[in-house]
Amino acid sequence: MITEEEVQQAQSNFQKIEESMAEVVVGQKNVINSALICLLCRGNLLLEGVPGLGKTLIVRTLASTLGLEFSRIQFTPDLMPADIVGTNIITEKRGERRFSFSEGPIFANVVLADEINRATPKTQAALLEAMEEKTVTVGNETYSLEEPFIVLATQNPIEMEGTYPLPEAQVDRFTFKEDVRYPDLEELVEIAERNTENHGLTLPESRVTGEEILQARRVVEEIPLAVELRRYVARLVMATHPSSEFAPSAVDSYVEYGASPRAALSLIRGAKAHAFLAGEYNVSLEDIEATFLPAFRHRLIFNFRGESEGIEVEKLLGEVWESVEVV
Amino acid sequence: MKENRERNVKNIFARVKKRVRHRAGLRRGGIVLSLLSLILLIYLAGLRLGFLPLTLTPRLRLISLVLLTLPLAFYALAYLSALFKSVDLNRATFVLDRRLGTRELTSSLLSLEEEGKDGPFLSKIRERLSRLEIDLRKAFPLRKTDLIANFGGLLTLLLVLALAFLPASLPGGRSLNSPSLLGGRGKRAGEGRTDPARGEELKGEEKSPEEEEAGLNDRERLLRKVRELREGEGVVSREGDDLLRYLEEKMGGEGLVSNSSDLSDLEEMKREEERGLAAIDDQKLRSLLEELMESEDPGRSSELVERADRRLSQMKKEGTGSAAQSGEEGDREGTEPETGESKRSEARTGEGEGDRVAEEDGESGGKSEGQEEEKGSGAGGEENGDETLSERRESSSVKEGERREGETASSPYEERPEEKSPSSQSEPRTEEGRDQDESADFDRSGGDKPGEGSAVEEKGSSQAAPPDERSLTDTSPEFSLQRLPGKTASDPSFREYLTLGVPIETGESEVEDQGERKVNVDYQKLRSIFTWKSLSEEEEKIVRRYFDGLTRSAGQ
Repeated sequence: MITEEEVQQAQSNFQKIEESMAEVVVGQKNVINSALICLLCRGNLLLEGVPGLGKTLIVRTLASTLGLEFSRIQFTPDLMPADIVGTNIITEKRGERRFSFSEGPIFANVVLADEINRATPKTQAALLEAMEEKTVTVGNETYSLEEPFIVLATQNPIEMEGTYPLPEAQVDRFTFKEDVRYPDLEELVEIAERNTENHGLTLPESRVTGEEILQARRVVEEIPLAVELRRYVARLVMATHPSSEFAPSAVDSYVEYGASPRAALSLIRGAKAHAFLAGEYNVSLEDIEATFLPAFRHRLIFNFRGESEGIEVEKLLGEVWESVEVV
Repeated sequence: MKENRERNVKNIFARVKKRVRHRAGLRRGGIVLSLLSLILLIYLAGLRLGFLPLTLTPRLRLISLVLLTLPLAFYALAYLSALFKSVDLNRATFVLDRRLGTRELTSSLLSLEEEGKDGPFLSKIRERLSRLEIDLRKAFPLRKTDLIANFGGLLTLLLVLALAFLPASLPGGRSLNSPSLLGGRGKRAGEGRTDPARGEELKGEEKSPEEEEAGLNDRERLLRKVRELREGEGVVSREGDDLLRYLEEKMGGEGLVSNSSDLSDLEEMKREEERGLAAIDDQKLRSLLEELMESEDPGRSSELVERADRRLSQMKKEGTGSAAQSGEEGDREGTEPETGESKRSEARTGEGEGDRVAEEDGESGGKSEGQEEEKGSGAGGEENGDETLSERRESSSVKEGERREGETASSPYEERPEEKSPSSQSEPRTEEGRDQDESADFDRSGGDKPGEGSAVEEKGSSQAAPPDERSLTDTSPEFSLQRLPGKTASDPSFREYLTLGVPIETGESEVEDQGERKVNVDYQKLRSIFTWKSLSEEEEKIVRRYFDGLTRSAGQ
């Protein structure tokens, strides 16, 4: 049974994390927020943005603030799955040779998969099991990943040559997808100031322990969600499917496949975490609204017409949000 | 204050349920009330405007009262059904949260309570809710459409109430307040009568034309005309007061008495009726009034009222005071046969005048109408001798023609213009003629031919019916009118007919003199039912034969 003090302590801890991250990262509040949400709801985050926007910095700051083990994997076309998950190697001990498992970079609490779309699908698929089941299977052995575990992947949307777009199954396993936007003028000035003076940027110290994060996860799971909101989330998911009774005409026109049930789970879990971070004790419609786009934007597959007409997924989802009646 | 709010949070779901049900009840009730009220309004308006047949609603006010309770009863039912319907509390609380901006606190609280979870979130949510002002009226406001439906339905109902109870004339000169429409058949005749003093009051009242236009129905106007005529020019005799009183009573309580318990009232009314009608000097007017009183058909009543009205106007125009005066004299001298005889001869001298009237009246009545006019204006004295006529018949010393005229005047069957066949319209109407029109069973050898008033006398005497074919209206010299009580035919099928809606008293009449008239009244009642039931001619003949049998037995 969670006590009221535990709830308040967890909320307080994460407010501290947010504050620490804000000391290092200029702007990008939505990205920080989404990262924390994914951490709280056992999810993974896909960050998309042009190079140099601080994607890696955000992830490293997060890992540092959390006091968790961090590993970074730079995805290249020649990267092999074993390079991620690890492999069995022959070791010799006291004259006796035997196979022993050498853990890959996936065995960390916070994993940064940088430019994940540059690796081959086979390598990309190496992350599937780790992201979903938090386990890694090598040979006949299955190894559990230590909790808390979170994968934060980045991808560059402009350099598409020589890349391998993530397969749908892979993309669907990311709880949220955030677009890392370009900083505005004030933010840019702030970034320049922080990185060029006082011996450059220093990562913050750890504020919470892994155990506290897990406690916070338990608190988030207990946050109540109204039945009618759950129904509303289900209607939202249905509305992304063409020919659904809830779908707006734009979905019928441009969408080939709508969001999966995993989208609903992501939205509900994300909304709970959002409410937690906001210091609330229940999920409201505003929490749903705040997590709707990150939870849905990477789960729609456009048809040819949608692709050829360059339909923006955010606009389409905006229509979905407007078309589905709350009550 | 805080305690109140905490208490409100504790029973918030019960309050939400109550409010939602109340709203649903108002909605359902409003729809039911407005719809039923509208239907009722259309129905009553249809009756008022004459789009619906009045015969369908012989007890309009009673039916209105019953119908008025229907929307209210259904409103209550609809409201109660909503009170017992299940409420989707999850949805209702969610709506409440959205309307009041409570950040889904109540719906989340409901979720927690339904799941039976007890923890920090439950207490925190309750605490937060208790700090908020939860106004359920704001969260679940009554919809404008529901309010309009409720109040609109209520207003419509009030309008219906006004339509049902405000006095207004209906087609055919009937009033919605008339006892026949209010269930007057079951009402005692005495209840419908006005105070005799009211006649005097009415006499003194001079209503303005506006009042006349606003509220008076045809019969009331007719009554006024009769009174004016009597006061101004003396058209009716000294006994006209009786007539006036009788007419007023009839108008105040014109419902037909059918209940056997009302028989004594009926008989009393009949006595008054005969007395009142006998006071009218004008034959035409008298027959019209008599038929008017007995008529149950609204259309027919309207027509009769118009005709009587026209006749009154005509009499007023002509200033027939001298004839009326002589009528009064005849009335006074009526006990002596010679006086009656002399009045008849006076009446014959007025034939010329009667002809003139007949010409004026030709637009509606044709030649036969003219014949009646002739009799009415010129033969006022004849009728004053009616009472002695039967005695004279018994002595068989009077000429046939005179007897013929006297019999015609005293017969309860008067000319009914609506029953004229095309052939009879071109002929002077007598009782025989009317019977010929009505049924072949009533055919007789006697009858009038076209001609002047004096010719009636001659023809009537020359074509007297044989004794074995006599009917009530037979005027042959041998005919002796005996008023016997009516009785039913032996054929059981007749009895079946007569018990179909209208009770016919088959026992012996206590008042011997009225047996014949009673048979006629009963037959008139049945005739009014024919229009409802649309009986075939064959069936009508059976009924008529039955009544003929009654009158035949009365005549013999």
